[in-house]
Amino acid sequence: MNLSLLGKLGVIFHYIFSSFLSLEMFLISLLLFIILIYNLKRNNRLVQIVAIGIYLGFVIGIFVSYTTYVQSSINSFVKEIMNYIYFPSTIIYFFIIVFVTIMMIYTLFSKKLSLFKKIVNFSVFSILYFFFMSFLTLSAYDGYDLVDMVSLYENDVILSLVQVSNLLLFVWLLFTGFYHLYLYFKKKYDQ
Amino acid sequence: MQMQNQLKKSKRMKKSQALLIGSLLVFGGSIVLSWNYLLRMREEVFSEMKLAMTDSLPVTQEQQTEGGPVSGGEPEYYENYTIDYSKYYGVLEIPRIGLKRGFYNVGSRYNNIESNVTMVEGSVSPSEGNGNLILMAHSGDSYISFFAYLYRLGVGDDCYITLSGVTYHYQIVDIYDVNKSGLMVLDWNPNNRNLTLVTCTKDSDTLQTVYVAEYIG
Repeated sequence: MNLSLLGKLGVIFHYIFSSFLSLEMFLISLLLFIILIYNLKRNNRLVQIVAIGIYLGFVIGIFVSYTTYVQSSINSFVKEIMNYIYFPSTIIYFFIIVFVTIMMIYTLFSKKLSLFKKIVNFSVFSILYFFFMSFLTLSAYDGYDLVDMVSLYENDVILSLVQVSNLLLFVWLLFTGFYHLYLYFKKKYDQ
Repeated sequence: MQMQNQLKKSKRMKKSQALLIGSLLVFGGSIVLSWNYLLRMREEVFSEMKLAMTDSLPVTQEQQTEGGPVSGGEPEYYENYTIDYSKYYGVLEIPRIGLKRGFYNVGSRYNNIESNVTMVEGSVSPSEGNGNLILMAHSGDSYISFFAYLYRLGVGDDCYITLSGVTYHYQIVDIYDVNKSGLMVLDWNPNNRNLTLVTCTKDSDTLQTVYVAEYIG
């Protein structure tokens, strides 16, 4: 278990040459890679389509062969996202605020963003800061352990602050996404 | 003529606007189609959190001290207490050492050895028929050392697993130590329901003790 990086690479190297199947998979991957690199200059459309077909076919093959595993993976993934939205760990909440701070700085100095977008950004970020500061103040005042999520979220005010915060961030992300998508469409099709 | 063309252009929806509306419709449609699924996931997340919030830990004030029991001292027995079986996936009970502890299903975020008796992935519940239900927990002297007293068990001791109101009675048939190597070979009877309890061996940093119990009725 405590292998060095070289050790791990050695194990993988031995695995590749340990059976015909592993060698075959390695050669197929290598061949695909060489074809893609070779096609970079030639830019053959057929090669691009076939390569996409192969990679997509591989993924679809996994979906078909391991349907139960894929379903449970998707369920776990969606549940984790929901947990992050509704009951984020305080570490996640902290990193959300770091992200918001970075976006705030970008908005302050950006010359590309329109006035309307800047107003929206500043409004959302100000509210998020207020919520986060209230969250910290309440937690400290009531003596909650920031690591213990369960007892923290038993407090309705703290839970509401966190969940409304996340909802606002989600709506802002959606709005920003569609806004930039519209700008992209505008640039590509209207000019 | 130019003015008329410009007027026509401004009245007709721009391609970018049409594409934006299309994107919004696709997104909205995806949400509508997956609404029931998302709602089900949301309910699971909320019910798990509610379970964790209303979980009445089976320790009295004397048993749970800050940071765990005094170093070097043995942890207290868990006294017999009333447990709400509906809050857990299953409940493990070992009368010989006064242990009665609920555990969560494999997919639950509270199925975690740092907070509960943990059900190992790949376990087969007794309600599913023959197979092996494997539970792990810490030994030692912290407040999460639910298997601290397992070392007092011997062959012939009784264990009970309660799932969905049905109680399965097991008896310990084998106890052995294995090295902590990350890989463990378990010895169990495939023609019966089995219960395997795993924990660190008392006073050892390198061994784990495996308690194998078989279903007797």
